[in-house]
Amino acid sequence: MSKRIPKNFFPSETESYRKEQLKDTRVGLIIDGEKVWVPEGSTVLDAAREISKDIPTLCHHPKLSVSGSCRMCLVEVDQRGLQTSCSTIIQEDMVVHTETESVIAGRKQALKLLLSDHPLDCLTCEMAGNCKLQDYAYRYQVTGTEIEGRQRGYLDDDSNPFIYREFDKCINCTQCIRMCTEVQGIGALTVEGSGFFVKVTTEGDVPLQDSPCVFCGNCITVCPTGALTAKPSRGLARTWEREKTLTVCPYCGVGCAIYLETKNGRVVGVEPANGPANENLLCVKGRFGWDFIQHQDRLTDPLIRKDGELVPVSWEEAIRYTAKKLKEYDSEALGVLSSAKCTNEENYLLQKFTRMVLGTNNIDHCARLCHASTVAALAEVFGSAAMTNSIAEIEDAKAIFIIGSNTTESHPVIGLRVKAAVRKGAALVVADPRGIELARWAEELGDRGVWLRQRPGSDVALLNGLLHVLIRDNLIDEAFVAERTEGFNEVRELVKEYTPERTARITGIPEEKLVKAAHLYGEAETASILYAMGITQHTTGTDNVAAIANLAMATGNLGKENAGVNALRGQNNVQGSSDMAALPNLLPGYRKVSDPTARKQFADAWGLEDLPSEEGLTVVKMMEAAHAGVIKAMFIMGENPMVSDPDTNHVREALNNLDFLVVSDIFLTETAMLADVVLPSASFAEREGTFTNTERRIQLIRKAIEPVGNSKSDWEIISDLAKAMGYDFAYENPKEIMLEIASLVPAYAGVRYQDLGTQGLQWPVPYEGHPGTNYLHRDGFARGKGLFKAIDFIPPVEEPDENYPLVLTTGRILYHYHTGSMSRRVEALDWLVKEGYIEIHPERAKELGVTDGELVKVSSRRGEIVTRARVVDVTDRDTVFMPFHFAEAAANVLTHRELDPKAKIPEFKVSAVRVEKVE
Amino acid sequence: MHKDLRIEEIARLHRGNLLPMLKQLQTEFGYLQKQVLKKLAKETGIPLSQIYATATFYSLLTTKEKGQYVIRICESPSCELQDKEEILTAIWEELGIIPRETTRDRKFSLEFSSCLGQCDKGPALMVNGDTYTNVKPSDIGEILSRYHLREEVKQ
Amino acid sequence: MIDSPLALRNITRNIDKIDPESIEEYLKTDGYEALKKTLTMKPKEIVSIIRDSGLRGRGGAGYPTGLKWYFAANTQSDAKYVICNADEGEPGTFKDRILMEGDPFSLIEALTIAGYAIGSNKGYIYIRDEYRLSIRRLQNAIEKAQQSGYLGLNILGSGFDFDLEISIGAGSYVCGEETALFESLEGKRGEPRIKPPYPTESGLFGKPTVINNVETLVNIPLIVNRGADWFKEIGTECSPGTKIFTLSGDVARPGAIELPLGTTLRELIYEVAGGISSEEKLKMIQLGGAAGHCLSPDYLDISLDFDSLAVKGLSLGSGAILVLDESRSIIKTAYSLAKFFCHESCGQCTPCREGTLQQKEILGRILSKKSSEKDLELLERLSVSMVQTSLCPLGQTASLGISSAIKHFKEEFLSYSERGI
Repeated sequence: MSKRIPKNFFPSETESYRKEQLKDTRVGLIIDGEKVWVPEGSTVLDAAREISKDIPTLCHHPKLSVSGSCRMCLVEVDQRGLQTSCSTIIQEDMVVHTETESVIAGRKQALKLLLSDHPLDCLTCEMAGNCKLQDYAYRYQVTGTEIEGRQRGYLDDDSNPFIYREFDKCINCTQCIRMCTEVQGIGALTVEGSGFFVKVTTEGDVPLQDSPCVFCGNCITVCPTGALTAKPSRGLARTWEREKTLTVCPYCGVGCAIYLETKNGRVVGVEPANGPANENLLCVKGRFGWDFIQHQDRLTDPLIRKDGELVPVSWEEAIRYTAKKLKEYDSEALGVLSSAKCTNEENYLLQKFTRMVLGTNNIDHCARLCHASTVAALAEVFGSAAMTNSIAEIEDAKAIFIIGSNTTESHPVIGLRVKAAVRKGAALVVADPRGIELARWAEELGDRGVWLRQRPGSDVALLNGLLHVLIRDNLIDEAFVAERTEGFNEVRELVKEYTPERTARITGIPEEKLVKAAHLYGEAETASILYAMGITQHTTGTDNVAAIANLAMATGNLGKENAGVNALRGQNNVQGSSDMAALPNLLPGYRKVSDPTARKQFADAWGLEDLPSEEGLTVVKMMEAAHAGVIKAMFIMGENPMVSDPDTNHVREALNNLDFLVVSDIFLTETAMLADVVLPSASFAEREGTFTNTERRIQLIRKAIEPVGNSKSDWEIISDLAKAMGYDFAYENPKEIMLEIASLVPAYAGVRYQDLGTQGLQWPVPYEGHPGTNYLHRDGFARGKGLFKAIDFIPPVEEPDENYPLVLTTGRILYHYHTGSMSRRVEALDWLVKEGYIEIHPERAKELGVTDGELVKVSSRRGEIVTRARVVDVTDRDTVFMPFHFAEAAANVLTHRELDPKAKIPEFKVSAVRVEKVE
Repeated sequence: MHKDLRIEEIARLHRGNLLPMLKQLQTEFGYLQKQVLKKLAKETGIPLSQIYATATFYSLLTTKEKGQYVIRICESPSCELQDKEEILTAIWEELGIIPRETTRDRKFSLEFSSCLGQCDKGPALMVNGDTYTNVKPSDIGEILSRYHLREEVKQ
Repeated sequence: MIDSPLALRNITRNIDKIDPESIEEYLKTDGYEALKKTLTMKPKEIVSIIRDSGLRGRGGAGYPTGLKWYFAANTQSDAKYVICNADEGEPGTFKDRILMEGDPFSLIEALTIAGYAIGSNKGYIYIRDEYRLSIRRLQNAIEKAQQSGYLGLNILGSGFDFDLEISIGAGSYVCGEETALFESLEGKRGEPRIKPPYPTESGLFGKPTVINNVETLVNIPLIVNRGADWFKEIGTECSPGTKIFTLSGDVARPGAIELPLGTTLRELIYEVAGGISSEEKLKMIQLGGAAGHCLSPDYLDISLDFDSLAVKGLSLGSGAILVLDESRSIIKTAYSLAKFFCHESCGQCTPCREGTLQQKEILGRILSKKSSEKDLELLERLSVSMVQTSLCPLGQTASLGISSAIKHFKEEFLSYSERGI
């Protein structure tokens, strides 16, 4: 991956010039005899589209700079003749004709010329039916046979499993190049050569995989012809045979809208949709990561362990057996793991099942492992535990401070918003121990960017140090602090000690960079903080988040647009499963289980006397209880703790120690392999329901295909199980469950399926018909006043020593996802990154005598694994990094179980390890 | 290693201005090899794709190996009217190459060129930086021998 | 330079007369007098003089130079540039080379005056790589001017700073188009930009830029020294001044000559260049380089000035005049033109990228007598769309030579295609 900003990423002078012309006054002009008023500085094309004039374009894209090269959008302007409407700025009283004889002649001639060297293989072309060239040829009745041409005769590029390139079909519109450069910020594509033989390709015409390409596939989206196509979809269905189902991507928390394309009940591809989060953009996983859906490994029948073997049984038997077994245990011996991959309705139902049927609060899910500290901290200081602002707003922030988030890999489409902001001129501050892409960008931005390379685990000191400078240099929004917050004086006192000099000593960041960062953040009119697991997965995770909140409150960056404290949630529905309280201490809507009023409300609604009042066990505590024999039976819905949880050996022992384990999942995961009952569940493509993305947007997922084999949606499985255990869970469909949720959770009160449409709704949605809330705390914090918390720095639990001299930090990579159960079954993703690895700094590798690609043994106090070394300059020489997606080289064998005292989140980001060469 | 240092120097010398850097690199390394361009990208921060975009656009830049001396014959209409064919024949007889070819010893390449601006003195040709006008087929042997000679002196 | 009693020696006054590498000799012939005078005046006054003189661009378009300067001078910006377009790639043209080789100091003085007039401190001379001698002479001249205080900081104690840099092309005809030239100067592919914005608003690096041709610029010191009225005395009312014409092909005395605008082709070919070099009769004249029209001898009496030509739908172009006698094949010449444009198209816009190849293919068919009559129609239609819809002047003019050749020599084309049927 290229980590530099392509030189032509920034708007060209001409583009800036055009932008400057756009004013808020309106100008009137006449198009085809019709008067139209548009903003001064608009183009003729904009104006024409305002009144639905269908001017053909091949090289124009509203998100990209103007090219003006295809010459299809010609119009006739009085006194000026033929002009390209995409580049002509309107003038008062301009008279424009969009389809005169000479306009049509010009367009026809352009089409004839384009077709003269275009392979006319529309019979087999992947894009037939969805090709602009074809459409315009039809519209202007150009057959393509009039001019005898010659094709350039370039060979197709078939060498990667993502993007198929047919150079002879390229019409040099350069949209793909501009997409790759201006939006994606990668610049893998370019024009080479000149004249007729220009070729749109990579640097020196190498295969894509040898270029900086990240296979987002956004070039395919903008290609007007069949030059760039999605290889996994090729030959599976004609464009008109594809049924499109609008739904939501099943990977990270961005919640990109996608169309699942199906033919005869099989998924044949994914196209981006114009959802509010992604606006037609996708990343490699969203675009290409769909072939796990109907993978041969999918579970098709319920399995029960008989004589040590998992054997297929009927649903009836599986449910009966499970119900019988679960009834055998006392409530306190039962534990449940819910899943951030399941819908809101399913999470709601599973916690209801746990509290009502099993009679325990022992329910948790992987939010514990990612953003429990966010939930704990933000609920306390703001009163609402979620990303405060919207994804789209990031683009318009004047400064962005990213801390502990490898945004372009973990939340790629949000990464594009950050890049868009940078393109618009925003300042960028990135704090990360690793030289991730945006850290390098921040460095390259010169005056308006800085990379703070803090020591892992020193975030509180860093954040306090920044606040120190903000106070020292009068960059505090005193009015906001006085009116909207409380507790600032204690913080002011505390951070006095975090002078740049002391902060530099703790964090390892040079003083001048700290000062620069504080100024970039503090001086911006609107500044947005983005953070993720680099902040939360620490024993001081809650402190870290509260310290971030301090910074944002002190500068008044809350309760307004394009600012905020923005937690980037990791899973597609981790926000929703937290909202639905698949959590041991909360009831849906973040009501405490210890609160009798809250319990009463739910008990009444569910027809019970009361609900269990004692807080249940969290993920890691549950595993410890299982290890200790206190928890005897567990129900795990769609989670894979064998890979996702810290200290894998301990997890294995804990699960093996259970009397009874039920797992529902779409694959026989490492966890399911240990189960007594395995229930096949339907994938996102096969169910209905809602996901709530990281910006609190509740979006509908829609069923595109029938469930694979005999698999069932989890809401059906839970309902069946509840019924078998004597409870009347009589839901016809997820829509009914949402009505129940709406009646109990104020933030979801106005959510109705029929209102979710293509845009969804951002909670809080306090009543039916409410438009949703794009940013929180507008007129006041949910808790009243924002709470400043004075937080002192505490070092990480496990620091390197003689035996374990290196700091291991773990995380995600772009091409895989979570425990790999989905992404590693995607052929193309697996082709690109097949196995786990450990990143080692070149100097350290030299010391260890390790070269790139060699096997190394990595050990910690918990265990050891063997994996491959990647010798790269990403971490510093005292730190190593491992992705956690790979079960056979499981990073979590090495991590420890020490928890944040409040949020009970493990410290995945700091473990002490030793790396040795394998002889 | 020495090569890398030189690339760094050239990048500094031209303050990141791509066209002059590419021209100098070509002069010094014969043609624009991939490794050279990669190093240049690293040194200047200009993406390799953009470097290739420029390097492949200009007819005087080449990413493929060519002869040490490139003979460029003017193809403009004025020179076309002169006895250009006979000059090509003379070169063929001397070197055994036709346009777009390179001699086996990689000493000479033959190419056509757009107008050299010597229209009143056609036919014209250039050998690397040297311009020859009113060239007659009989001059070819002598012109080429200068470059054969130059190499010998160097050795 | 062609020796002729008709010749004027205004902008060419120093050529072959002084040592082009010696600033002392330049100074002896009124060199730098214009700059000295300029520095005593207000920039606005200089712009007025140039506007009053009626000087028009000698690169081909004939746009009023003073107007360009006026726009650039009135655009506010932290930086402005003055550029000399010395990328003389128009086939048949070598006037700028002669000027740069023979009188480089004039050009440098002119650029300095331009910088003063519009408020720019930095100029570039973009010159084609093939002009090695010109490059050497200019480099030498810049160094000498710097050493003598005519370039650099605080020029002649006036407080005005101006410096010049030479930027060398890499073999691309289209870079002679002003916006492509900017792209090239910025290190990019020489792909023309869409206009507007015009260079005087947003040119090199997005800053207001004045870009003038070499020949245009060398008029500047003369106008400053001798006045706008003196300049208007020469040439025609709407096309004042002289022009260097470059004659090549089948004329007895090919070469360059400076004549007042408004001279006729007949005078040029028969009086200056000594008529046709062979026994044959005159067959065709291509006026203005490869991008110009191919004309029959019927046009011999047309006045060579911007307006008379515009009335007839013609253009003076660079002032190149290619003469063919009856022994020559029009088709071959047309094919050669097609080949040239096909090679030089940047490939950016559809009509030019695809159209220039089609012209070459079709003329190739005609030349090898494998064409049908339809091909001529096709060429004509191609020409219309290329002229009307191409992005830049290269595409807009790439078919003119061919379409005019077909118009005036249709019989010859038909004779080829008929045989092919």
